[in-house]
Amino acid sequence: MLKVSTQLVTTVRSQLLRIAPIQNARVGYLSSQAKDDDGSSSSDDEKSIQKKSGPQPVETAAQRLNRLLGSMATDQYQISPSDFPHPGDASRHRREALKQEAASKDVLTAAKNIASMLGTSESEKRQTESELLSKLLGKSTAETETNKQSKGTEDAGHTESIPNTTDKELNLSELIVGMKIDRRQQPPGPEQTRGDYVRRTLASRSRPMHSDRPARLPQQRKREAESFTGSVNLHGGEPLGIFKKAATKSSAPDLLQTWEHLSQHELSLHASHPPANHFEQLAQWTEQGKVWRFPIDNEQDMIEESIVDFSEHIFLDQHLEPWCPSRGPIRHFMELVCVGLSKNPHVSAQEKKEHILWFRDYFEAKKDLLRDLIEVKNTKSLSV
Amino acid sequence: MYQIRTLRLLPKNSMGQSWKLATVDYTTAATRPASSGTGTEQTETIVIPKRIQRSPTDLLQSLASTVGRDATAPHFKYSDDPFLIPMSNVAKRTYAMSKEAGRKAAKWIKEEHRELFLHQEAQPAIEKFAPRLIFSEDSEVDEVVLKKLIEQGQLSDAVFVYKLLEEKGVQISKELKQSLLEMVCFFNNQEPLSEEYIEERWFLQNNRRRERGVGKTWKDGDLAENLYASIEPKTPQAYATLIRGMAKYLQCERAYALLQEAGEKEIILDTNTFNAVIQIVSLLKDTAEQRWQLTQDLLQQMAKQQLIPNLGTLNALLECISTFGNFKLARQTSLQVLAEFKELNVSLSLGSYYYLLIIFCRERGPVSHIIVDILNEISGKEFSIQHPKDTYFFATAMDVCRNHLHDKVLAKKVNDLLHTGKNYDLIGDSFKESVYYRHYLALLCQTETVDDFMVTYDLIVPNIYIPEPGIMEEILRSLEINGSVEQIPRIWSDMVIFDHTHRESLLLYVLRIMVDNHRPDNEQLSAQCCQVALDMYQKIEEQTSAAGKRNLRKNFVSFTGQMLGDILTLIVRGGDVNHFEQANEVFNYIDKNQHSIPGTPSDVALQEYVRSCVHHKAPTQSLLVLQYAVENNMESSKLAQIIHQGFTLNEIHLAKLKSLVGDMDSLLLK
Repeated sequence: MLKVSTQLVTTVRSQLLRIAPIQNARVGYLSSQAKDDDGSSSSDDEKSIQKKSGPQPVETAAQRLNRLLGSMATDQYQISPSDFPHPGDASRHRREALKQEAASKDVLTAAKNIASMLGTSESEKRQTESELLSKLLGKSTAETETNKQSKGTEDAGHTESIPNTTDKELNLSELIVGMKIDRRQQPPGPEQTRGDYVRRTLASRSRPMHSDRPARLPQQRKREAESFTGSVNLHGGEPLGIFKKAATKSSAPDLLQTWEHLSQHELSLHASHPPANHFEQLAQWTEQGKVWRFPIDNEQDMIEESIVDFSEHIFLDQHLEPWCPSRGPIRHFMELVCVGLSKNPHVSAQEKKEHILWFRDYFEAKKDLLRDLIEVKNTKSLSV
Repeated sequence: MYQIRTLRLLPKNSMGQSWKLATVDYTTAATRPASSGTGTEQTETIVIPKRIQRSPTDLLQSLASTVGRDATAPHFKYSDDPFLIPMSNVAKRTYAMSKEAGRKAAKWIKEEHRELFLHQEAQPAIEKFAPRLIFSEDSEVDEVVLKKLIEQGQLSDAVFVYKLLEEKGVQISKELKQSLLEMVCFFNNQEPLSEEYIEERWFLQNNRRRERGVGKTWKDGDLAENLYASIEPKTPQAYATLIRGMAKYLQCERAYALLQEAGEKEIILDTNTFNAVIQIVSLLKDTAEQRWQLTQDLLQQMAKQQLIPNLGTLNALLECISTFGNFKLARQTSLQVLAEFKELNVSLSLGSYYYLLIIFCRERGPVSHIIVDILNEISGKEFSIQHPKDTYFFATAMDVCRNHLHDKVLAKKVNDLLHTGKNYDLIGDSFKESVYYRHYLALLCQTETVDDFMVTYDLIVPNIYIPEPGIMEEILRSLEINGSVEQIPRIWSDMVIFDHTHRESLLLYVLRIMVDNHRPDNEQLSAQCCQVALDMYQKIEEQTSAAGKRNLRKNFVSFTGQMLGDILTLIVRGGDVNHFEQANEVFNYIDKNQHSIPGTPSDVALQEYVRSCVHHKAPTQSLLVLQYAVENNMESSKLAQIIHQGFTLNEIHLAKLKSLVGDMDSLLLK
């Protein structure tokens, strides 16, 4: 993914051209780790190198060099269109490449050149050179440090040429041993893709391990084992001793009843979530009072009538007895009224009674008129 | 008729008895012949269990518990129609909220055109269906109305009626005033979200938490304090109410001052009021030591007043401890608190375990395995909600499993606990649910084999959880590590559905996995990969052209040379004759737009394409590739070699080849 830019402008960059891919690869790996470690590793490296560099004038130069290298490593991320080749650039690039080729034949000579530019004494030169290489190849600085020190004391009295070459070789081989290979970066060739590698390793292993243990876990386990703090005994602590056992009574009710009621309601809302099926939907509606409650009862919520017996709805003759004549048209009429009322489900028993009593009052008020009418009727029938 | 009447008039107990007797007779009569047949005479007494009083919803809930979650179907709230099944997180939210909006609109019409809804069919009338009562200046109101409103939790109406009663000079009883004060303090004189809007609450709660962070929301000098002032003499209840209200809405200083005032006047408060103050200790004091000192003082006061601490006290203490910066002190004190409450026989709720997790498992602290002990204690148990923070447990526990311990087995245990009994009710809201599954999937894809992981993936995605782009990247990473390109077509189709195709990093990942894991032996897979690449090409092209037209959408992916090279490679690999034409199309696109496309395809991609040109006998096209490579300063000698060896070129082509790379022989010698 990280495209290695070949356009390195400064001479230092061009001299170090061949190493750049490795460096980039490593940076790429670090950056993907950076989420976890906050990228602290790379900055630490830089600091330690700065600390270990030699006397004052050389140090500033080395710092500048480090800064340059640092910027080179980070520059690779910002891919802007200008970084990519354009058709017209081709010939210019070729010429530049030719020019640079002479200088960039060997990384070591390049590093050595720089070292000779910076340092004056032999030991200083060597130090700068190894620092440079360690920075480039990502070697752990501690190792070079010890190596360098031991070499420095040994080589102190030797002649210039021979120890220098052996020293250089030693440094390089150790550097390469210390190099880390990025597992995420794909190798350039098509024959060596990551997928091929994984398949080959998987095939060669032919599943001797647990099938559910990917390569990452053992490493993780190790980390855990190192920092294992043991189990926590949840109830093994020393009590505070503020509340004495003797004081335990049955807990007093909440002072604030409305508050209690409201907080209980809110709590139940915390645990409620959209109904997951129709039964839950019905339960929700039931609680909201929108549907019949179970068990189904067709007198549900008829609170007024619940204490009234059905007989009081149906047997209404009892209300006639005190006042109604035992026979005659009024009796006849009132019996019909009673039959009608007894069949009416929409009126409460009390209302039925009041209805009947209304008739009683009505007939009472019209008593004289009725008597006259009945008399007239009787005389008529007699005359006939 | 008479008999029936007497039966009805019988007291319920005797009726039950007579019925019981009858049943016993019947059953013994039925069993007797069998027992006499064997010759053993024994009188079986059949005990009929007593009637269990059940709530109206018990039956429904037990029925509902028989209906499991169908992972292949969308949630019940969405219409089970292919066109209306939401397939992204945004769609899920939008659809659910649309439904809620419909409910709200209906309610609005009911209130706005109340005259249309005055008829009441049902006997007795269903109050919930009737329009709400509107109180105006000249409504007939009395204490009974106010009391009813408070019971129903209708804050604004209750406040209005209270003011009306005050204007009319009606004396209000102390109890009623107190209970109104409690309600106003509880809601901070703000109308709460109606309980009917369950979807809104489901999607809302993450917003509310953000508001909480703002700080004090208590309304100073508002109705609550006026009510409090009008209560004379001050009762413990009044103190407790105002302290709790202020503590709840983070008016910390005054709440604490009021508590001290009550202490000076030797007013006995109750446990929950102290709990409310302990909860805000972290906002009263700055350092851990001061906080702990104050907390201990408060506990001493409680002990002095003979108050019994409860679960709320425990959780408030743990909440306070969880704010300690000093994790050693936090761990130590939390264990002390646990021991203390164990002696008091207070059992922990999930909220308490949540606090323990955030006390022990800190990002910048040492690794703690407390979750193992917690799970040992609670696995297989069923919980009900006891504390508002109970719903935070599962998401946090999964977070700890993933980021703190990185342990798959623990995660599975947590998941089992979640699916025990009704524990799923405690998942919280949509936000916490998705956090939970985010951690769960990310952990599994890192620690399980691809096949095992895909089983879980199929179960959860898409109806329970839809992976965010970040999680999709994790999944792709694990697929890359395992080199399992077989899953890519499937994952790609999911990505298309979930609308992840505008994420460049994801697209690059998919392409890389497919390019790196070439399997020449598996033609079907190559063809599928080719399809995916073509699909991706079309999608990006659509986006690019649409963006070019409207110039509005910023969030679109534009081609890079690398991407197009990968697409080209895949088409070449998976392709037959038809696909070769499409490969040509893709290459021509690269060639034509080389000024606007940043970067170039990789050398390998071009080489593979040229080989395919050789295979399909297309010299002109292959020379175009060569020309492109030369113009873009790419490795051209290899291409030229392939072309030179692959074709028998005619004069024109040879001339062109020569003009591009110079003399062929010198190249070959190299």
